Amino acid sequence: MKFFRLRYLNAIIGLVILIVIVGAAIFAPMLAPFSPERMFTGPRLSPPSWAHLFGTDTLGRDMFSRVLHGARLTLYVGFIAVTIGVVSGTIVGMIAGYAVGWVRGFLMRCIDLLYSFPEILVALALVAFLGPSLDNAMIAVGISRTPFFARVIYSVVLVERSKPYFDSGRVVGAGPVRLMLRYLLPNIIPPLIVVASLGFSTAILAAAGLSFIGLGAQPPAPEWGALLADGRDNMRLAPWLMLYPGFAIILVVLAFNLVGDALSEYLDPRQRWRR
Amino acid sequence: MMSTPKISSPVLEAKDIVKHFKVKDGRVARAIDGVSFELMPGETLGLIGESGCGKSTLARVLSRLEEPTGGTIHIKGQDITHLSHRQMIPVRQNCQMIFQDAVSSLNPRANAGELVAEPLRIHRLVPKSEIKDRVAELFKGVGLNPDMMTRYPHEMSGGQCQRVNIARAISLNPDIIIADEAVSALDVSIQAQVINLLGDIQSRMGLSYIFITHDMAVVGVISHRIAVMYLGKFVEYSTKAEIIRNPLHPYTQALLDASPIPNPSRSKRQRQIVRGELPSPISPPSGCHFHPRCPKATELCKTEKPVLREVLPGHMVSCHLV
Amino acid sequence: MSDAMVQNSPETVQPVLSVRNLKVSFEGPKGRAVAVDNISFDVRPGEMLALVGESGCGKSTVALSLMKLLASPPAIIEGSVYVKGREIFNLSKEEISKVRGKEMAMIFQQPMTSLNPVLTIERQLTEGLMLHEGLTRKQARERARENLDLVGIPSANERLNQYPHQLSGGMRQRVMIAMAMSCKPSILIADEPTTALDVTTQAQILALMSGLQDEFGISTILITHDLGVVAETANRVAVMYAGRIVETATSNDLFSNPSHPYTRGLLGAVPRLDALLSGDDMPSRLREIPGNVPSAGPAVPGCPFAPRCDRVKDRCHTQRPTPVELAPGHIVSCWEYA
Repeated sequence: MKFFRLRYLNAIIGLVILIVIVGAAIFAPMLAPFSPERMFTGPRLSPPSWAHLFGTDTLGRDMFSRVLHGARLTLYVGFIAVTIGVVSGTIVGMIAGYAVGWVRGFLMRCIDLLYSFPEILVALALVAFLGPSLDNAMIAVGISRTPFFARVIYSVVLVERSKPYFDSGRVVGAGPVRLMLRYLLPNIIPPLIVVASLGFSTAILAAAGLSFIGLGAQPPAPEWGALLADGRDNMRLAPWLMLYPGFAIILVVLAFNLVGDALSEYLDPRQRWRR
Repeated sequence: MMSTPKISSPVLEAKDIVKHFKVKDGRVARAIDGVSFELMPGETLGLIGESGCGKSTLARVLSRLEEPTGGTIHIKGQDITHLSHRQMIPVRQNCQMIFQDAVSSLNPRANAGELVAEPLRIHRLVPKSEIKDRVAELFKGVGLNPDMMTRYPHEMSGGQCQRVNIARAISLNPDIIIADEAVSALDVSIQAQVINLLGDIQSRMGLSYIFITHDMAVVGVISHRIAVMYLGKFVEYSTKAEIIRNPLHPYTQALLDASPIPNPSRSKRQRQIVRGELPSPISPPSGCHFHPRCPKATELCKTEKPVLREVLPGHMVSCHLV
Repeated sequence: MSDAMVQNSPETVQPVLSVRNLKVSFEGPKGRAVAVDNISFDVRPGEMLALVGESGCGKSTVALSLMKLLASPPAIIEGSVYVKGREIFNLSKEEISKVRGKEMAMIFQQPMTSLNPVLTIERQLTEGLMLHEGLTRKQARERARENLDLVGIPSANERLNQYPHQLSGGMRQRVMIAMAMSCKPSILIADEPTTALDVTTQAQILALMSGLQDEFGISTILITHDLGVVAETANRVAVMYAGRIVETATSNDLFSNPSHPYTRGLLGAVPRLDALLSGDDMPSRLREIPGNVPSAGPAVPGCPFAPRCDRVKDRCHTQRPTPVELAPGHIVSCWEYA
């Protein structure tokens, strides 16, 4: 009975979608009827049918196979970008939160400065500098998310270091490394998991956006943002070209948001003891 | 450090400690306003006062969790007032601290065994292979079953957590333990256990306590000497017998009067309830800080600051009327 | 069994509040945890009854369930409560809230969390008056001012326009008492009202509460862990342990002749200023009660104090002790006396 309460339902829906998408990504080669890059598997721009579930594109490639394989790229991009953002954000945020005086002031001003630019602008500038490719797009998205993660971690660290156990560590003589790695880090992991899972969706969106304007995944890679860009020219003639990758992006973003929300509720100690 | 300390030299010497906090619009809160005392080996100094009197800040300054604004702190003859965090680490072996909130002063991600082993590891006091035995010994020393080592703080009661905190503190064989309201949050039956435990540890290890509390009865049981704090200053300072049986400062008398006594025949006595509440340390009253609440205040008290002086042998009071 | 717990007072005054076989339990992951285990007690007009016990003994749960403030579910509340002879547990929600406004009021340990931080003191004090007594805003303000005077708040007119955060802890507790008093209830439930306060402020608030009790004949249930506070203020005491009342007596009887081993243990464990004030030497040790304070769990068949008791017998583990009246009004639940 408890199982069907709304917030459990949300989490379960998110989790199911996520499992389906991850499963699709893992088993794409087995599930896809065609190679994602094989041309002329059927008539060009044919609408969805039993032979081609999601239709075909201008080169007669099977859209279903492309979207399936795209899941791999998209999840990979999200994972790497979030990892870069979370790791660098945690290092910066933790040092800023631990340090006092000018170190904190300097780090936080830097973060504020970066944070005041729109993230996509930072990412664009970085890709322009590094050159357009999927790898560079991941790095750019990861770096552009760093200020956000750093600020979240910073505020969490400030809360943790004001708790008595932190003082208790200082009193027994723990040095900065021990205080950061043994005291702060393990205690900020719950909120870290939450921001990371919520950050996944933003990272995927940003990477898809970069691919859409041609700065991320390069043809013929079936990244979902790139698929959207491909379909744009024939939007009127063959709407399915944009419909399915677009829908896939919505689904994966929704799934990560639902799971992230559920995690934040579960891991929040104030919520937990209420059960 | 320097010359070999004599038997009777103090383990901790605080001189003119001042701690100011900047508050908004540039004003300062005088949390501690010139406090001096000496702590002798094997002695318990009780610090009593109401919330906001600066007693917890004093604890944090003495353990160098906060920088003092002025004054000097010597531990076993070594000046620690301006040591850096890194320089403080070896000093911490000598001076430990126990906090009020027993559960949340333990790292929630470490189990009891790791928590007690941690100070030993940091200061490399015991070879790695012997740490486990030493921890088990410490557990027994604070009345905990060594089976509890694998428990996490949230899996233990407040009393058990406070025992872990005490084991952590004594693991370093310190000369001083500062206990900041260490038994205030505990239930009566557990509080008695912990007070007795602290007493046993003192007679076993010969260490000194600075015991901070708001509870007159608790401080009366555990201390040798008592200092009464009001608005950042000591207003009275003497042996516990003098403070409890012969209080001279009107504030000490008020504290004793207001402390509830579990004895209806005694407590239905007529007593004077002091009016008002503790003023803000940002804008303390002129003259004697206690004068707006004092039943005996005179004109002199409103203008002239009293100084802490010895009125009886070993009995210091800061009051114009004594 | 519960009838023996009821006060057999010589003069048969009708109690203002009677609690019969109150049982509160929670359905938890490890089965049913019993927080309050079948307790009965009476509060007579104008008396202050203290419910005293350590954390988790169920004393606050009793208060919340009397006020019907306990969310149910998850709490399962059984038993009956009579206010001036009228059963209130079977009343509808609207009727209960009427009883709550007119007959019973409650004050809490943390006045800050029970006051609304964004409303002025005036708004918080007048709302109930306008709602329950149909006063106009102006009349209500006048009454609010009188109430603040009553609880000893100086310059009441200024205070009415202030917000809770502008008041000190003691002042906030006074405002809470003024709010509770505004509808002139017959029963005041005070849950650790002075625990968060300093001793000098505590003495002021306790004096205020005793004053109100004498002046208006309010019956008070004082919930506290502090035996000193009990001795200072209460007329009668019920000692609670693990969800049960183990001893009931007048304040004088309880402190001069504590009879339940737990009560004796508590009185030995509490540091006593009176012991320090007289006698040749000052004690530096306290008497301990061994073991830990139990947390709510499944109901035990015997006496819940048995594991920590120094006079435990075999039957203590298996049979629930029956209440015994040692002296008029002095009731103990312990096999030592049965």
